[in-house]
Amino acid sequence: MRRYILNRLIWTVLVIMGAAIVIFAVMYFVPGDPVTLLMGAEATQEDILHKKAELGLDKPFFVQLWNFLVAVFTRFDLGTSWTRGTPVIAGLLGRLPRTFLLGFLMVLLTSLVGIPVGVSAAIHRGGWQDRMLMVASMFLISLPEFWLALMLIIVFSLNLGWLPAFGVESWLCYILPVVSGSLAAMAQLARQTRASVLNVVRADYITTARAKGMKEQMVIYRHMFPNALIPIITVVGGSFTRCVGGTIVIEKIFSFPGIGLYISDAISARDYPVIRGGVILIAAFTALIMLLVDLAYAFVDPQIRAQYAEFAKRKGAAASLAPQGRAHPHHGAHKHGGDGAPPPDMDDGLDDLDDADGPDGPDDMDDMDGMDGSDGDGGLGDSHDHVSGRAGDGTHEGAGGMAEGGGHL
Amino acid sequence: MSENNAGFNGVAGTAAQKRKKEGMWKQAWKRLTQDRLAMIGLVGLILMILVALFAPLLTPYAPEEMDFININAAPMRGHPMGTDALGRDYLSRILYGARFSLGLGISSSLFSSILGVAIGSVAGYFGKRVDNVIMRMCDIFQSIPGMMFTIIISLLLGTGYVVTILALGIGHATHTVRLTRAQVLSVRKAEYLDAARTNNCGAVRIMFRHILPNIMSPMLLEFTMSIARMIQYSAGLSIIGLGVQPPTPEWGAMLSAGRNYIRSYPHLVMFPGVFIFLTSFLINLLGDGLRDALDPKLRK
Repeated sequence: MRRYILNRLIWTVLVIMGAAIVIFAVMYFVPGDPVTLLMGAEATQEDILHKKAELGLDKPFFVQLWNFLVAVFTRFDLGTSWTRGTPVIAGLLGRLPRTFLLGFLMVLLTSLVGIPVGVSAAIHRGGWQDRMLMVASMFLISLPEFWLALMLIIVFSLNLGWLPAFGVESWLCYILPVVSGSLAAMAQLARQTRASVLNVVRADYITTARAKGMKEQMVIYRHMFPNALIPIITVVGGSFTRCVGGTIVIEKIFSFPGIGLYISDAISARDYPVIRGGVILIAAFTALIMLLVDLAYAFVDPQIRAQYAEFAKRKGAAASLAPQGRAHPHHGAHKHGGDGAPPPDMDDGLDDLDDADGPDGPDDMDDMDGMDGSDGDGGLGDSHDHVSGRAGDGTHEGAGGMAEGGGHL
Repeated sequence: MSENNAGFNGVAGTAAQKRKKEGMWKQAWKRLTQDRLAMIGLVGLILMILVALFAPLLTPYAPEEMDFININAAPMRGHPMGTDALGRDYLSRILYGARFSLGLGISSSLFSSILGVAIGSVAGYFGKRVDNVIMRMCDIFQSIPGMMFTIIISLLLGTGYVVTILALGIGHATHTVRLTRAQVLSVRKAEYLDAARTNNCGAVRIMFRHILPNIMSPMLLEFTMSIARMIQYSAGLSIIGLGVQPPTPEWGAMLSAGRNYIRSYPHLVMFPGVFIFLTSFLINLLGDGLRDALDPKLRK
């Protein structure tokens, strides 16, 4: 287990570095000369060259990339904002608490409403609660977040005057952003919870547990709960990534002075260091959340734990059989929007739609492999004693040697 | 394929055979037509597409035509949805907007699917090292939230209609890559692929003729649902100053332009949003029905 955590940790660092390289490379090729943009039209050719040398922009691409990476990963130096003249990292960290609070409140509201509603819909399957949830959630999922935000502003700020439309002066300022950013995610989570609870209730291993005379309470806590939890963790974990800058559009609409607004202002001003720094911070945060979600899986799902322990044990002995390595659990874990979107959500305020069918989809998909010609291995996804709600790839290893090369890292 | 199976199945599978002959898509379609909500979604979407196609016949004005007497007019006779800041008839712009918005949603989803399916099936099919490299790349790209990635690509490519389609497609392809790969992995060991290989089929042919049709339904579902998302993302891009920009009568661009007048002329924000919502709602209804219809567990 410790090995697994260590491996994932190293990989997380590598992912963050990779993301930094990708972002730097893309931003490097963004057209338009930043220095000309920076100095204005009156600057002479000489001034421009001078400024370029000062900023280190006259060096070749790889030298710049290297300098950038060294600065970011050894000194946490994300550069200096061109328009504000202040260090980017200070700007980001100064705004982080507000964005974090906003995102946290969204996740809180989403989970507090979404999970109970989903469970109650699953319990009353086919009843009026269930039907109401299904229609209402479809409605809410389709509501564009930014538009909902604008409509709420029109109603509650401009017409009724109850709530402020922008700023962060009082706690009242948080209400509209949190509500407009949570409704779709809430509906999404409720649907996901409903689906995963239903999936578990009908599972064979629940019948087995009951048949062997297990107490109902034990059945619920030992078998139903952990299994139902996994897809829910995915969605909740996904929405946590919005705690940092996931709400760029919402922040823009409410002029909420967080990271999202900082980045979107930088986009209008073409302030590249800020955009670059902001996206790297968000990517790092997302990678960390992914890591936590994976560890949470391992914590909740004994099968994943066992799988890894087994792998570690066999590793030495089976070096020659390397390709048979068990599927790495973390493939299953990356079931999220980013993009998943969105994710959903995941991504931006809008992005929780990214997950709209994500975590829910694969469990259907797992079963899809029985489609047409391949009836032979049809339904292998749900023959296991575990939820097939994770990305199909992680869950297949038990049946038919679907292992995906022993690659770790 | 089904003929061969018939021989093997013999007596035991007569009932199953009958089903088989009907074809998976036909069965799915049958189930879909029985789903009332999904049919509402489908009919609504078809109507929407018809509106987009026949916009010039339906609209009283051209989308660029300005009426200087009525600027920022509230809904009134002659302008059922009012006019915008340049006195252009809002209803006409909304109806023309269906062309741009639906077109944008469909083509960016298509682009993203093609990209994702191509990369994902290569990863799934070749496995081993190729798979590892592609999946590790995916890890990296997925740590950058899709919206952020789209924003960066938009910065790189600039603003505009076609460019936004590309940015949205690239920005959200990783999801499809993972999905496709998982699907390909799930059929990779199937016997019919061994059979194809025995018949000396090349990798490309196996991928297109044998794997792709078998993993088509989740892809179709993903494609459908992503149309709604793409339209919403594009509106989000417009709001932060990227993506499609006015004067293109795209709903997101109109909404973001109307945001400046929200205090005095809320109708400028309301109507494009209603249409984005309506389209997403119809697509989600259809998608939800499709999910059930394509689910083999429900096959009778």
